[in-house]
Amino acid sequence: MGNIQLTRIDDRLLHGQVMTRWAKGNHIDAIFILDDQVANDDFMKQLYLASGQNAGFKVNVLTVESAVGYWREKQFDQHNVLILFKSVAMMARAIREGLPIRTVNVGGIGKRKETKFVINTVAISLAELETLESIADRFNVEISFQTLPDSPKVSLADVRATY
Amino acid sequence: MTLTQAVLISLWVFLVQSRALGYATLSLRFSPLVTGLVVGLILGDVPQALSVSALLQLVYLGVFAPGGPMPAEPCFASATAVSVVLLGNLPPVAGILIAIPVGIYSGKLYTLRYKYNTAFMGDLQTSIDALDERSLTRNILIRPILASFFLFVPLLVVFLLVVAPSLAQTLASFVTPDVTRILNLVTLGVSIIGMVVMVTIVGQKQHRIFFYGAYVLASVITQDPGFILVAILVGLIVGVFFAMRKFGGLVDPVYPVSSSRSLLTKGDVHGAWFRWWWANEITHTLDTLIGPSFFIGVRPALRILYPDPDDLKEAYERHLRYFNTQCNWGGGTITGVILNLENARAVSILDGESPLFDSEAIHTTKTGMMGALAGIGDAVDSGNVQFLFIAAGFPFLLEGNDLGALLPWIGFMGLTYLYGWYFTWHGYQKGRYAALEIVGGKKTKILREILTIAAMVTLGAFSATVIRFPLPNYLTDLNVGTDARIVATLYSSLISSLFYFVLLAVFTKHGSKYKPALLIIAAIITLLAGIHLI
Repeated sequence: MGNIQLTRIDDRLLHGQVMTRWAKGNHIDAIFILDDQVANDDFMKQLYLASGQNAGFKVNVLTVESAVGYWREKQFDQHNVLILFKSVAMMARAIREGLPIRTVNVGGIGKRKETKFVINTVAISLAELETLESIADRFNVEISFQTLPDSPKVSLADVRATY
Repeated sequence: MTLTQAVLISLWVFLVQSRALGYATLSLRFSPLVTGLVVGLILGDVPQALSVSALLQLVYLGVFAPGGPMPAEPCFASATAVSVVLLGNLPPVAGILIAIPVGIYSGKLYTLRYKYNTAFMGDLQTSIDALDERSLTRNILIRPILASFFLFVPLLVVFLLVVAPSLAQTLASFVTPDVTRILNLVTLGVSIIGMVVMVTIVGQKQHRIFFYGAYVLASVITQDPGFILVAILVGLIVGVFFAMRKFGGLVDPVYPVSSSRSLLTKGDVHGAWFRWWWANEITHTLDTLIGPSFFIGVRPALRILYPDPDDLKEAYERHLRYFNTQCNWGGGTITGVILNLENARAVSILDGESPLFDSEAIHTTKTGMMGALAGIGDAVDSGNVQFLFIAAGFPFLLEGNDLGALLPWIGFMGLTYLYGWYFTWHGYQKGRYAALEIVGGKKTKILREILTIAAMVTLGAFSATVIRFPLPNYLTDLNVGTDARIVATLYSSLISSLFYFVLLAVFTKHGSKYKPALLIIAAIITLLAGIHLI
């Protein structure tokens, strides 16, 4: 049976920090990118598959639906997985549809309109904050904000306090 | 320390911290070497300055953070550390006492730069609407440079004139031979962390045999750091052999190639690459990161492609949006790919057809690729190529030869410029599929394998020849005659191996975390010193 070792939200998906600092040394052998848009874009899918291979990981690019199916039927085989989401919305969907995610690291979201920086590398909107809180409550998920494993880890409660 | 010297040093640091000279100065963010050389030239003692720089470089080798924010700014740290050591005529290793706190502090100061840039970027929208080119240049390039100037120069001048001399005096009495011995041990221990971090990050498990093999071979054959040059060469040759064996039979898929006529000349495309290379990290705001630098790169080409002001404004707007990637693999490839798309779009407009690709599609292509390309760029350029150059310079550095600082800088800059240009042109000719080739194609796989193996071999040779624990006095006093060298080598290798063994085991089990590693080496050093083994 496989294991979800780490779950991260990073809108740049697979880049330097993620591959070298988060994935290596955490017994992770596979990276699953869960995003409907990317999974349905053949070019992007191939790009991320190639990226992961370079670093020695098995990479899967899946829609939320097929990921949930993969878990239900095969529990991700024997893989120790790092799950990567591009957005809060995707993560929320995946958890609502049944992926047994216990902790989420929000590591990188770029600034868009109506968003505020809550740590150096994450800017979220009020709606996104509320989604995170609702997921944390309803599904008992520990959500924290951290760029790199060596950076300070900020809790959801702290982010709400200073939002 | 005269006012002129303080000002000159501060101006150099400003150039590096503001990244005002393009990738030439950006690439120095990982290395204290050239800054050390410059300070040595200004203060009149190059060999001493290079000794300090070499030690700082060893400490910083493990601290590079591929793709992440630097925890410290080696340039600032190097400038202050070398100055204080030279002023007080201290043993070089005393520089560590300055470099580490200053490095951490300047890392935080550098984050402030982002905040200033964001605040002072000014209103780009008005400039776009008016197509006011000079105002755009002013906001994107001049203001961040000025912000850096006022952030770093006054502070450093004051430090160098007022703080550094008194710090030098205090340390002169504080740094006794015992303190020096402890500092040496700490530096060696921290350097080993650096080596181990690199071994775990640069290669996969199957590559470690090259590290171990090279380490043992180098320990047995020679103690001369010159062996590093041999190791690099051998590593590359061995790398070619194994890479071709593993990937030689691959065949790349044939990707569709776009075939619009080109409105841009090769010179135009090269100009875009050069301007990106220059503007790269000059501007860096929290909102758009380095999107505006990309804009600076492609701006002249856009003006050629879009004679209609409305089309041009739309193009300006989409290229001033959020964007961040590594300079060469990311910036080069994406500059080429984007110009390919913009060219196709401009041709369709000229031909009176409906414009190919809308702004959103172009933006999504950029942001979709930037992560993947940054991933490979950071790993190869910072992890392999830069390290190989630094290692190649080390034997010269240890002899006090400034080639040890210049070779890595100029070599790394020159080589990355060339292959960054190759990516740009390739991206322009092939369009977005060039990114697929560059990230995962056969040539890339072979290149990465070669560089990884070469880096592992070099790490082994480097560790064996440069990071050597000295024999404690009571052992050197023993008369072992001509076998003294062998005894010293074996001894040093045994002690080092203990560190490597423990750290590699811990890192493999718990991940490459720097802070626990520091505690572990402190513990080992204390233990070994306690039983008089070091």
